[in-house]
Amino acid sequence: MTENTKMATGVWVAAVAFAFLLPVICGYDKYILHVGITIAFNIALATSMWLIWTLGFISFAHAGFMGIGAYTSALLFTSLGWSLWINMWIAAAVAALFAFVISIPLMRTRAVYFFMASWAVGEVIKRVFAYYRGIFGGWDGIFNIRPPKIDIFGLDINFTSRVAYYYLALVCCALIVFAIHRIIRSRTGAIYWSIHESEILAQHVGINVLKHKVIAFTTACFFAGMTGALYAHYHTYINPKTFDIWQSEFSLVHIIVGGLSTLNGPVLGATVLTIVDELLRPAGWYRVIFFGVVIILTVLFLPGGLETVPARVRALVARLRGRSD
Amino acid sequence: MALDEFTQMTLTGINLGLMYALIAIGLTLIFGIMRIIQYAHGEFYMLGAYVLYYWSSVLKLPYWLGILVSAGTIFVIGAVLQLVLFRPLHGKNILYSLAVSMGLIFIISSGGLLTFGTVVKGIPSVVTGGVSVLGAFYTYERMVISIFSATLILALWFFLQRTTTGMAMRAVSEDPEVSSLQGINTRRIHWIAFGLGSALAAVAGCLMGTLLSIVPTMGFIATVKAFMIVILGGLGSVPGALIGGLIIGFIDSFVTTLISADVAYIIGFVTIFVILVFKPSGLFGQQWD
Amino acid sequence: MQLLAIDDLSMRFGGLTAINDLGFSVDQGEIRGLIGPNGAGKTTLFNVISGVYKPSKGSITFKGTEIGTMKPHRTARMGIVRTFQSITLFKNFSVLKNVMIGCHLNSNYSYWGALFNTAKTRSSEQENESRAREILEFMGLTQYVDDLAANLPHGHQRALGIAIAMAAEPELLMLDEPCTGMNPDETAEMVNLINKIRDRGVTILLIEHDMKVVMGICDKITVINFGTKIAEGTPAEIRKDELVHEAYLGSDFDAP
Repeated sequence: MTENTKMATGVWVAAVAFAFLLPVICGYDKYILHVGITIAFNIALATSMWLIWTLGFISFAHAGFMGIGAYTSALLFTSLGWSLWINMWIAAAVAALFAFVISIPLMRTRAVYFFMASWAVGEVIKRVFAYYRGIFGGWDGIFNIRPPKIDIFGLDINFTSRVAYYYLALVCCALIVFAIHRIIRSRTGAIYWSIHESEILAQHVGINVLKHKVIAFTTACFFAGMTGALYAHYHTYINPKTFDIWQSEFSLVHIIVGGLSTLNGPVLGATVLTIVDELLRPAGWYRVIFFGVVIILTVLFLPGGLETVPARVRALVARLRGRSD
Repeated sequence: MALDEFTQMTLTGINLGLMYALIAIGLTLIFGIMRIIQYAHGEFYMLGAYVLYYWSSVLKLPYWLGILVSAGTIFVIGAVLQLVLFRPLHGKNILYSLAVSMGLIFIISSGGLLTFGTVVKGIPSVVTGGVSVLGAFYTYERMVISIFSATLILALWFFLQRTTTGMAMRAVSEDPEVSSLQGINTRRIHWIAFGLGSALAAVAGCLMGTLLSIVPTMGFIATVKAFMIVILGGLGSVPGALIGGLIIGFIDSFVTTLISADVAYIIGFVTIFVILVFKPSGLFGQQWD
Repeated sequence: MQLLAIDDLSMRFGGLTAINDLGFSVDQGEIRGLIGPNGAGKTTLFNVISGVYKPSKGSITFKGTEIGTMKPHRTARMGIVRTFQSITLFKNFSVLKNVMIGCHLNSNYSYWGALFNTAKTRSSEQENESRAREILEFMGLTQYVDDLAANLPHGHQRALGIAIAMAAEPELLMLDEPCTGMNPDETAEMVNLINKIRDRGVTILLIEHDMKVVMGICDKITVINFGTKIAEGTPAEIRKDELVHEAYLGSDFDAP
């Protein structure tokens, strides 16, 4: 167990080091950096969605809250001219505020009902953006959102540069993943999983289940809102379709294919599938079919997801060795 | 609001409502019996419409027989998919069956775009002419389709109430454990329900495709509507799905005409959210855990 | 001293009355048996006391405080902890972690402390673990500390259920059929355990169908049928009671 933990830590350190060196490795290739940024966004969204899963829920409203963050940040930029540095936090806070308010009724629902209620929330968020043309630009969305600049202490970085934005996305994504890691490894995480295991027992040993659900949901949406702001200022253009149910579903696919039981799962799933997605881009609709096949095969034949592959391989090797002896 | 306009909207409401009810009854049967979220339900609605399109527009074969062929084809596809994909997941977290049906959406809708093309198509109608009702023009086509949907729903009702298989389906829906103890072959009921539910969606697809037009992406909207209706009427409740279908049909007809389609959606989603939170069993359903 | 007092309590579900004008009280330090035929409303009573259901009428006071409207986590904080008729555990957790979750209630915990893993959190976590180990030793489960709860034998799963409850440091422990599905050896062990728990100063309210167990360890027994109290007294008195015999139709009631 400890050896595995050590190995996992090793892999993590290597992965983060690789991510930081990527621009140099790929020779500042703009397309690869774009894929890197997309991966960072997808990881942030999938891990924060997974945080809700640790209590036993999958929220289909997750991309909606990312949308709330994106629109907040975009509107602050286009109407007040504020930069991402401030907007990012306001966006996260606004998403969290909405999440907090909606989660109090939402968390009364369970299992199937939660899936569907969260789905309704996500759709309402999207359609509100689409309906109020005056504020949110309707289905056309909001244009001309600009990346921020840094100009202090003689340091002058413009984040319109792909490399600079890559590092910004990477750092933010790493912070989000690290924060979720800390939450899950702490007693809070143990309580979350205990609610996942048996809500009724958790309640009867004095855990305020509703409070924890609300806090977890709010926290996850805080991260989703932050990701939304980063997304908006990177793409410089947003519309309601970006944040609809499909975005939530893709995150769910990332989690399921990566694995549901540890934080490695969503990170692995989001990374691998985003890369595969990019590689298959020329295949057009066949790419979507491929994803459908992948998710069905994963559920049927690899129910623990990609994260269980090393253990499965080890077990297989051990068995083969045992047979040859 | 003028009387003719009102009549027009009412007739459209009934028309839409009955077809929505067909899709939703299919979905609620599948949910009630298997307790899974069949998220790809609308895709069978789309496939059903295309089967009829190829049958009657391309092969020029008889229209009404085409509906039967479409229902039969989709029944087989649904039953096979249940046996291959959903049976192994029975009893596991609903997340897994949800994921599989998501995979099916990806495959079927993209496969549809590749096979059928993105061009909007129409199924020629077999009934022409119409009549004036209280100042509103009511085509015979819509009348026939409404009657056909209503008859089919009634037939299904009889099937569930009077036949052995139908009663077994209701029993499984009410209590899977007890009914399997009583000797009901629940595994058989599962694939029958899945096939039947999908076939109902296919028939609705045929009718809607005749009235309006067909595109490979029409499935997801149908899923959305079906879920709204099923939640409104109560998960697993057939009468609930019928009444829910009519309610959503009327909302769509009136709100879309008078305000906008976006508002109709927002009202629909807010309503189902409120229902899920405060009365999760819907108007007629039972509470599941 | 009176610990729990139930007064004029009713619980209705739609047209069905599960508990009907029930009243009794439990003194500190006693083992109180709660018996009655199937469907008499015993488990419903546990659910009402622990806060799963809000009573339709009447009052429940615990240490002089009205707890009728409290949710389960609040009643647990007041000192009322219950176990479940069907074994309810955190099945995919280790035995130790199961009990540590139970300890949560009485430990020093804050969200921010947990997030930043402060010194205070770490020491509280260690304290929790040693308390959990102590409880597992007390319950005779030390050998299973690192095992998955789902893998325990049935009897020990029941004991673990009680260990989790004990971790929450109850003043009133409500046990719902702790001996169900146990062989005579396991039952004897459980009886022994219940006595040991009482010796720690915990008051016990016990639902049990095994009359040997009930008659053997209870100080007093309350008999309910159709949601109302039909008799109350020491085991010897209950054994002689006419009404009780009628309710049970002489079934397994003649056992010593």
